[in-house]
Amino acid sequence: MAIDARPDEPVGPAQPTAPAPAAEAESAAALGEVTLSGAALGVGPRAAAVTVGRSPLRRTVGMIGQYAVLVALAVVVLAPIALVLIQALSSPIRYIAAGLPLHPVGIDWKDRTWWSGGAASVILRSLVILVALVWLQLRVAGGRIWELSRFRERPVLALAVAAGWVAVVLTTNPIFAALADGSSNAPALVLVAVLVVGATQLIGFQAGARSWWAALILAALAGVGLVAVVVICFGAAVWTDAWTRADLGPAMVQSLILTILITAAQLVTATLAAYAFTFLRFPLKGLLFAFFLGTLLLPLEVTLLANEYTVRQLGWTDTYQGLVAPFAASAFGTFLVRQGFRGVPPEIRDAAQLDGYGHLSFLWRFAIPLTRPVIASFTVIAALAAWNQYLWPRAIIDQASHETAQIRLRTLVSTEVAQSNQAIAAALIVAVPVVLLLIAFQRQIIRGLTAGAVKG
Amino acid sequence: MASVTFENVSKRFDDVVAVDDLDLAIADGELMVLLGPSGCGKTTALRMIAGLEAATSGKILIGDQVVNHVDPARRDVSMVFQSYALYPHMTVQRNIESPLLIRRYPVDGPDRPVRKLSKAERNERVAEAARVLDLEPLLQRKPAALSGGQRQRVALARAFVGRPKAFLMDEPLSNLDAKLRAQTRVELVDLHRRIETTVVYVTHDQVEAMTMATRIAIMSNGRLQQLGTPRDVYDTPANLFVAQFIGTPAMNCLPGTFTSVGGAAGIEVEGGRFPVPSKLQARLEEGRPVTVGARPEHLRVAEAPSGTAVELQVRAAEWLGHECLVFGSVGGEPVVVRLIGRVGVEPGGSLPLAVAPDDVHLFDPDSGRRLD
Amino acid sequence: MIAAWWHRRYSTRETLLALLFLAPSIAVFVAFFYRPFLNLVYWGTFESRRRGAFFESVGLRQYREQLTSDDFRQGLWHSIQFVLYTVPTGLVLGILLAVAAHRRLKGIKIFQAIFASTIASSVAVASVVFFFFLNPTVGIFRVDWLNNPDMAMFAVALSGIWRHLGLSFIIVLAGLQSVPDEVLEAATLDGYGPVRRLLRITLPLISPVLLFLLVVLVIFGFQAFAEIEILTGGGPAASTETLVFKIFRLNTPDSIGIGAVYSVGLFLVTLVVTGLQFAILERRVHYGD
Repeated sequence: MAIDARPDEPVGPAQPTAPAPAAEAESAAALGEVTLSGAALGVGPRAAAVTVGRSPLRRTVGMIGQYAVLVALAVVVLAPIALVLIQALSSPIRYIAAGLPLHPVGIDWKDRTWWSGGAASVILRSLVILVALVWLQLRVAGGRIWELSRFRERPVLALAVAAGWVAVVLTTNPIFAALADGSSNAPALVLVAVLVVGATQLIGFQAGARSWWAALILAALAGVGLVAVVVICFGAAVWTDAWTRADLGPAMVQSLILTILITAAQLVTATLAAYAFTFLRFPLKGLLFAFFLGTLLLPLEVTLLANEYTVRQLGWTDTYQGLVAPFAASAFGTFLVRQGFRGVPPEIRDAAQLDGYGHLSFLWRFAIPLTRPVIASFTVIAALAAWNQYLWPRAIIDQASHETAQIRLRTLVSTEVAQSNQAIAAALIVAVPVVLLLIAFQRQIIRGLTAGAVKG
Repeated sequence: MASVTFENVSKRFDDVVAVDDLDLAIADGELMVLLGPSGCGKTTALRMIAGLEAATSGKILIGDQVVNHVDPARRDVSMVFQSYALYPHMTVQRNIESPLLIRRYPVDGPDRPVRKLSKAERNERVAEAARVLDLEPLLQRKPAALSGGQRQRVALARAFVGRPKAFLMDEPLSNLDAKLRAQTRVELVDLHRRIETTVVYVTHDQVEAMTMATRIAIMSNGRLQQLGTPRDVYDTPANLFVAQFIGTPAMNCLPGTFTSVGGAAGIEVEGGRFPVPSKLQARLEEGRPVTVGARPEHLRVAEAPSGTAVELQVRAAEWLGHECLVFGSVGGEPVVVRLIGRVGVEPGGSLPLAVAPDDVHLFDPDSGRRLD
Repeated sequence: MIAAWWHRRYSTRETLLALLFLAPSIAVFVAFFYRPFLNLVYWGTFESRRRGAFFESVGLRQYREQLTSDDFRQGLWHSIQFVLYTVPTGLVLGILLAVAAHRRLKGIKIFQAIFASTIASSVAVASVVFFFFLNPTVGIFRVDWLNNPDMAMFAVALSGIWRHLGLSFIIVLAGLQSVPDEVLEAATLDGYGPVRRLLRITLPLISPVLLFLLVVLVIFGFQAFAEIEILTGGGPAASTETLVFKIFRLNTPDSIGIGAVYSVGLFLVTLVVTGLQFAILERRVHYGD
């Protein structure tokens, strides 16, 4: 009985695998957890389920095809930001005249050294590089992120960070001057910087890497990445120009204060309400729950006019209380934290009761610590939303001096063409805190977002 | 129906060797049980037959055809997954019919090309499977509305309907409660007898292996430890691992030395002396260290002091009605004895034990290999 | 009597504590959600004359007039247009990204991070980015869509689609990860190829997630405001004025009654649309055990 074994019937070019569901139980309140780079977006231990049935050649072709698709999609997703970034670096007049919009003709470079720009700026810069290096080494070394004890375990990582920092400062210094002068040394200096910085990082990578190839490639990427970031972020003139011209300082501070206030308020109100719904018995619980639920149907867009009227009547325009009050409570947050609280085993409540803990101390000593991941998720999401707010600040902020960063961006868009690149730069600057939040807390953000969508 | 063969098959996941140079020939029509603790490679081996994992090296044959690069759907095997893997959004009927919709089958005979089944043929096969597995009243239900045992039968029906060359089963009974498990064991053996198809069955439960298998392949750490019938692995375990894996309670193993001083040859242990199977006596030299094993059920209370092999220091006795398990130690090593009926022993007392020479197993202390 | 019933079921102390814990949230919700809404409903019955100096109660007539007016219908249509542009595309792209990134390849985590990254963009940032992306004079893509009445909404929608790619990706990916391995392996053994597996097994099994995403995207779509304000300012020729945009602009003493009517209208529309989605699609959604 001869079964046709030739794969002459293509079952499809790209062979997707079926990785195991993401399973990372972190706490008693483990919701459906999805994580990004920090700990594998659900990539499980089982190998590709389908590619195995084909000859090695087809498998390689299939794999290349999959990478091609991924790269294409990544390009689509990143294209707007990438292209706009290039646009931001050059003054528009220059490249319009040159007729080549994609070519960063004549980037305005700042003639500076690492140490110029004021103490605060220098410290901030150094700190950023340090944190980036620490993050990089920890990520490559594997394990949980922000586990600083790894530096004690493997001193060579600390050496890589220190050496890397020194290398970055020393090798990029001459680059700034060279670029500002337009000297032809610049590319060579950049290359030297990339190699040196890459080498320092290799010290750390090779300790734990599985193969020399992987360590080398990673070191090369690290070198290129670090130098590129330093040169573009600290060397291009457009960032400080945009910052000063748009007066982003006060606006960013406004946004920051607002974010902190709103997040804190929501944390408190949502946690208390969630506690009541989970651990306390009282009449009309169902009705009150529906009451909370109902607010999801009344977004600010619907109640805007009346809320604005109220706030104006109270004289709360341009004030923090006016900006925070409508957002001091959150139904979404209450539900999220409630989910977390429901994961606390009832036996713990009973044991605490027997030990004589009242509700407030139970809340503080047990409920909150046991649901830290969920609360962390909610905090990050609330902060994200608060930072990104547009409609309400737009409605009740009348004075430019009180504008938040997001609102400030709007005024920048209507500037003259000659400064359009500064508007873009300002937008990118405003986006940076959120990007940092995303990198640092991806797991928490994803967990919070998917809690409602996917069953844990 | 076909045989399944592993020729020097290895499977590596990055640094971990899951299957290490496996050489195994599964005969056409037999029920081969791959037995071993978690992580021993048995499930990986099973998945390699199905094509869900690719062998890193070696050849896998179904019948006499090398299938390493053949699509899973074209290997003409079917699999019952540990979690049953029923399609939750389809009815039982559609679940059972599923393998017949896309795959091609040699319906017209062994010499004609394979083709897809017509609707009539599909319905007929589904009806047959439903009848054999008693699923007729459940055909329009969805898996969520079925009990564990019913879901398992649907998984079996789905595997059955394609009349595959080999059935692959991955711990199919582990999600059932004890009573249902025992019942289903019997049904599966019966089913195998009726359909006479090769079955490769993975489990960690040695009771399932002993009661169901034509032959058992015991694996540990990716390596095949022993291949044999249930009787073989029970009577003549090839190494210490097999000896202690098969049988509940596990075989008692103690360190000892061979000696023929003082007339009768035996294994000197701290606390007594075990007899030695006659054919081995000539092969061992004086003073050779061995590990001696004796199953709890082969140890008896010595009738006469002269017949005593070892003295058991009793720690506890569990009377289970039909038998009595006595826990104690011989020279510091824990020993369990299984005795029929009720035995009067006191914790702290001692019990003289005897064992027949042929029920004594000897193993090399370093390699664990059986000595014979 | 009642006291006995009460004391049997509830502890007064606990109830008071609950009240204390719930009070801040309730206060905010009443003050900034429910009362304003009721106010709006009431205001909708008032027409104003002479620069808001004089309000005349006209009852439901204003509702009837305004909700059927051309201006409202236009605003509604533009909102619907925005939703139609952004939601199906967003859903499909989200599925595409998630399916592409749900596999075991070296470096897949990097791609997953890239696909999810747009979640970091706020409305303002995304709008600014696209404003210059699509700018006829200084843009990389020198197209004049934002000034073209026929293309303006499309251009605005582009920024909306891009902004929500990250969220869609994350949610669909979470759904994909909840599909058990073994079910897909069983499908492989049954001869289902990758496309069939996706369409017949995976998508049906994640349909609750997809419905959730659909509802969320539609709600976001009807709330479109900032992107309009920044990218087109409602133009050209009012071709991008969505409902929320119109409401924002109706916030003058003269027209606050009309604004209130529009607000209530927005509420009703969102309610009806969400309800329809659940009613129609719920049946086709498969909820597992």
